[in-house]
Amino acid sequence: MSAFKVRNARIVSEIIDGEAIIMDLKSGIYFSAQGVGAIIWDGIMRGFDKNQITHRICQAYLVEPGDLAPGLEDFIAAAVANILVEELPGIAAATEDWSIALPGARLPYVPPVLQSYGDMQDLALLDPIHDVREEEGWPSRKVDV
Amino acid sequence: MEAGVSCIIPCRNGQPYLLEAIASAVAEGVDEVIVVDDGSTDASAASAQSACGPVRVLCQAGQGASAARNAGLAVARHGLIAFLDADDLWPAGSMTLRRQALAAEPALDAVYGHVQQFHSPELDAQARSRLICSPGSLAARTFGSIVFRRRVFDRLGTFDVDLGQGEMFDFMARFSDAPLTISCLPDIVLLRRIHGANMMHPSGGGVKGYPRALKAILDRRRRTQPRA
Repeated sequence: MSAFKVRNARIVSEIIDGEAIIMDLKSGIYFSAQGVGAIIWDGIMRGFDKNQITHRICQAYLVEPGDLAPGLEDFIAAAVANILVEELPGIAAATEDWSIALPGARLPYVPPVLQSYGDMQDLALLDPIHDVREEEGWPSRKVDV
Repeated sequence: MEAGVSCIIPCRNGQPYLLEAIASAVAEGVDEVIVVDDGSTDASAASAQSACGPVRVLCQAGQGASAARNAGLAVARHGLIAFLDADDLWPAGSMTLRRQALAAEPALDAVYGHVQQFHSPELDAQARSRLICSPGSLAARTFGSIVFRRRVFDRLGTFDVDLGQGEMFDFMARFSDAPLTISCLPDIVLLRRIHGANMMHPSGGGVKGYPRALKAILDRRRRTQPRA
C-alpha cells in the first residue's frame, strides 16, 4: 500500500472548520475540499495510506469501503494530477493516531470533490517574491546571499 | 486628472531601499507620500524623514503590514490611493498612465498594470543565478500596481489585519464581489525588486495567512452567492 506526500515545496494547506484549503503557490490556483474530501486531505497530510483513510471515513460517514473506493480514487487522482501530492509506493504509512475528532453520529455520505479556483492567480504568482519573516521585517530586508 | 494621489508606503526594517522607493513615487508626481514605519529597528523612519518631497512619516509599534496600510489610509488626504512596498519602484510614467486611465473613465474604481521583476543591482552573479527573476511582465493586481479611488475604501472598508499575507486576496475578493470595476493597462507600472533570500517558502511564516484568507473568501461567497 502506498502512502502519499504533499508537495510541500509548493503547497500550503490547512484544515479550517472541517474544510481543507489548499494553495498551490506555483500555479496560483487554490482548492477546497469539504466533508469526506477534507478527511482525505487530512489523511494525506498525515501520511496515511488508502486503507487507513478508508477506515477513518467509514467511521465518520454512512458508507462502506467498496462504495467509497471510486470517490476516494478519483479524489486522489485529482490531487496527483493537480500536482498537490505525490504517491510514494513502498513507503510505510504513518502509524500515529489519527486524532481528528469524529462526529457524534455517522453522517450521510457525499462523494468527495476537489474544487479548484483561479481567481487569485495573479496575486499568488507574485506574492512569493516578498517573504515576510518576523525577524527580518517586511518587505524583507537585504540579506547576505 | 483632477484628483490628487496619496502614496502609502508601509515599512518595517526597509531602510536599504526605502529612499529609492520614495524617490520613485515623488518623481511620479504624487501629492503626498505617507511612510508608515511599523516598529522598525533600523533607521527606516529617519531615512524617510530625510527624503525630499511631500513625505510624511507615521510611526507605530509593530502591528503588521495590513495595519500599517490602514494607518496610512486613515490620514491620506487625496482622492486617489496607491500603495508601494518599500523595496519596489514605480517606473517613469507609471502614475501618469494610471491617473489618465481613471480620469478617462469616471465609473472605473481602480486601475492596475503589469509588474516586472528585477534583480537588485548589488546582487552578484552567484546570487542572481540563484534567485528567480522571471523575464517579461505579469498583469497583477498587487499593491504597488493598483491605483484605487478613495470611494473603494469607503465602500469596502480597510484591510483585514488578521489575515497576514492573505490580506490582498481577501481585499481583492471583496472588490470583485462588490462588484467594483478595475481595468488593466498593458504597460509596466511596477518594478518589483528581487534582492536576496526573500523567496517565500510554504513552510515559512509569510504564507500562513493564505488558507485562512481563502477560507474567509469562500465562506463569504457561500453566504452571499449561494451557488459559489
